[in-house]
Formats: sequence, C-alpha cells, structure tokens
Amino acid sequence: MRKQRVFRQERKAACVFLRVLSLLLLFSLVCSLFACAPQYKKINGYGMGSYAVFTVEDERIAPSLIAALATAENDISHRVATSAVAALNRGETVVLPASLVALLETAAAIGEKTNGRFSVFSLPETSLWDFDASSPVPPAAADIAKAVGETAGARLLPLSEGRYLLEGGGIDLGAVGKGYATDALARLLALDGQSGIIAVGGSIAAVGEKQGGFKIGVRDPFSTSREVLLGVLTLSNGFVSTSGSYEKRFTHEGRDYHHILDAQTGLPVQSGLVSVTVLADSGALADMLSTAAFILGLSEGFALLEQYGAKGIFVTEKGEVYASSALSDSFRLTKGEVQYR
Amino acid sequence: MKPSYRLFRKWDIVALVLLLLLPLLLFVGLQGREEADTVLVLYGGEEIERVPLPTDPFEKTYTLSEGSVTVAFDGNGAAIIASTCPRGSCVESGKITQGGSGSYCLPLRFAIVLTGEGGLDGVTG
Repeated sequence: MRKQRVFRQERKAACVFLRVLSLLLLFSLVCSLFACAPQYKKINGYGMGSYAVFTVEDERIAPSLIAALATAENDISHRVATSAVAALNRGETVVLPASLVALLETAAAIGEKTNGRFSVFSLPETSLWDFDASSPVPPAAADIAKAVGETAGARLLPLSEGRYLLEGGGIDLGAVGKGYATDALARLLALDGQSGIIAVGGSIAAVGEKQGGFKIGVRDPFSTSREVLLGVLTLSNGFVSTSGSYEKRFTHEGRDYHHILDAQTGLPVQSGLVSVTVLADSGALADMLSTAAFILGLSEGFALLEQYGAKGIFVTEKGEVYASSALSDSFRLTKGEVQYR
Repeated sequence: MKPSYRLFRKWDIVALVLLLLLPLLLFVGLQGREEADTVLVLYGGEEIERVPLPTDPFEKTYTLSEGSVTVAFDGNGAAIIASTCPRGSCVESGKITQGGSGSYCLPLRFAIVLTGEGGLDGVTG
C-alpha cells in the first residue's frame, strides 16, 4: 500500500516536471524564432547629388557602402572631371569598365524603343536647362534646336582593346546614375550576407527578404511633402525607381517647365503623366525605364515595361493611378482605387 | 477518486498560450523601441548634430560652405523654414513628423532626418 502511494507520488512529480520542461522548451523555441528576425540599423550617406540611406543588419559594412557610392559617382558622373564619362565627353578614347558598357548598351536599346525620345547622349540639351538657378528661364529656341541636332547624331564607337570614342553629343547619365549606384551597393550588401535597403535618392534596392516584406512608400506626386504617400509597395529582392515631373520644376511667364526632357524636342515632355514608378531586376533598368515610360506616356509606357519584364505604377495629371496587374497583391493605395492593366 | 496522469491540463494550456504570447508582445514592443524623438542634422551625409525634439519650439540657422539653412524644431517634428538655395523645395516640403522621414536641401547637401522607423523601409519619388 505504502509502495503504491510512493509510486503515485513519484509519477505525479514526473508529470509536473515534464509539463514544466515542455512549456519551457516551447517558450524558448518561440523566443528563438523571433530573435532570428534581424534588427536593422540606418546609415546616412551622400552621393550622386542625393542623400542615401542604407538600412542594414550589420553597420560595419557602412564604410564599404559609402566608398562604393563614391566610386559609382566617380565612374559615371559627367560632373566629375576624372570620370570615364567626362573623358568621353571631352572627345578622348577611353577604356570603359564592363558595367558601364552594359549600362550604355541597355540605354541605347531603350533609346531605340522610344524612337530617340529617351537618350543618355542628351547632355547638349540638359546643360541648357538650369533648374537650380535663382530665376530659371527656358533656353532660347535656337539653342534648343542646335542641341537636339547634336544629341540625335551622337553615338558611341567601339574601338579596339575595349576602348570607346563618343561621336557627337555628350553623355548625361542623370536618369540612370542613382540606379547604377544602387546596383553596385546592393551587390556589396548581398555578398556580405545581409538583407536590407539601399536607397540613393528615390532609387531603392530591397536586398534579400524580410518577414512580411520590405515596405516602400511611393510619394504622392501632388503633394510637396515627402511624408504624404500615394501608396505602399511590399517587395523582396527587387529594385524600384520613380520619375516625376514634380521634383525639379519652375514656372516662367505662366508656363510650367519640369526636368524630364524629350530628347527629340529638347523640351519638357508632356505625356499626361506626373509620375511613373518602376520595379525591375536592376536599379539602372528601373531608373531608365521609369524615365523612358514617363516620356512615352501611359499605353506605350506600359508596353515598354512589358518588354523588359518590369512592373509599373503610373499617375496621370488627372490623379488616376494605373498599375501592372502583377502588383495587385503588393501595392496598396492610401486612398482611391488602382486601375490594373 | 482515480488519480489523473495527463501530461497537460486546462491550466497548462492557459500557461502555454501566455508563454507563446509573451515573446510575441516583447518582439512587437522592441520593434518600435526607437521613437521619433530626435532630429539628425546632416551635411554631405555626415551627422553634424542630434537635436532632441524640444518642449519649447526654437529655430536654428546652420551656416554651410554653400549657404545657410534655418530649421524650426518643436515637440512633434522639424522643418526647414529658410534656405539660401535657389530652388526652395526643401522649404516647400514642410514639416517632418514621422520617424524615418527627412527633408533635404540637395543644392546645399543639407538634410534633417527624424529618428525612428515609422513603419516604412524607404520612400521612392
């Protein structure tokens, strides 16, 4: 009888012990699952004439990212006298890095698809417009006509041993530079085994994956405040860029002028759009396509994106929002309705 | 009465649910731990000052090599209210109040950024 009582007590104690142990194990398991979610840190930088924000898991990568941003700028900015692009613009024969050759080839292909309305050879035109002047005025018609002629005739000649020569025009990679930089920096972050966000101005790379996806706000083109959003995109492993007519603009004698030029006219494009946001496989491509699609307008712009497997969000001057149907699950407007195509 | 040797009883299930909820609540709480209570003042990408959001509003002028910028700070945000840059879009962009958002004067390479997450990982446009 006594033995039976002792046995029952021992069995009861064993049950209690097992219960506590099981609960603690489950608790630690759930804790460890949440602990796996990375804690991101933000690093600020400046390059390509814009502010850059890097959201990373391990901030020890900061110096490498900041150095890579400077390198990208030194490679492709026509304003940096030592850059390959500046040398080409001076008429020198230059050995170009493979990444820059690929960039210029893609730009040329997109230029052809827009019948020359998008061109990275448009420095003669862009240099006529000074949107940062205290009292900006549109250039004289004769100057624009001359610049359009120079741009139209420009081409990059491949020579022997990887050397290139620019014939006519001048290269301005302003519509591509930030995306080109996000590509380089995103590669660095991925090679370091980190997930995170590379943002150079409005060109953004989402590297890797985050629980619930990275949330990227799309700025409302009708508001001057950067805090007012058109909507929010959720993405992983992708590149986003926006071109809008609201960023750099001025009014002269009652007429509005913005900075996205049609290379065929040398004038700000009037396509009925106020902004185009593009998601693509690379930052440079997203940058180029957002500008080219803005120039082409709604229908032709969507057709261009489809050719590159890219997705887009177009906002018209009337405030209508059109988006690629592939974004129906990942894009949410803050108000109103999206028309999917 | 016949003794019960079930591994889990009703109160064990309650305890289990509480133990599962605890790390979830801790996780959610820690995610938002960086509050939007400080303004980072940046020049050329470098942090030049951290200004805690003040109880009493004040204005401060930053003199830079390219020009000068005046920033107004108050209890719920900050705004660039004057700039010698010709474009002036930094002044037009108004006050920043949400964690992670910023106001930029690119010709002067100047920026103010509010600390905190604000729920977004980036903004395009």
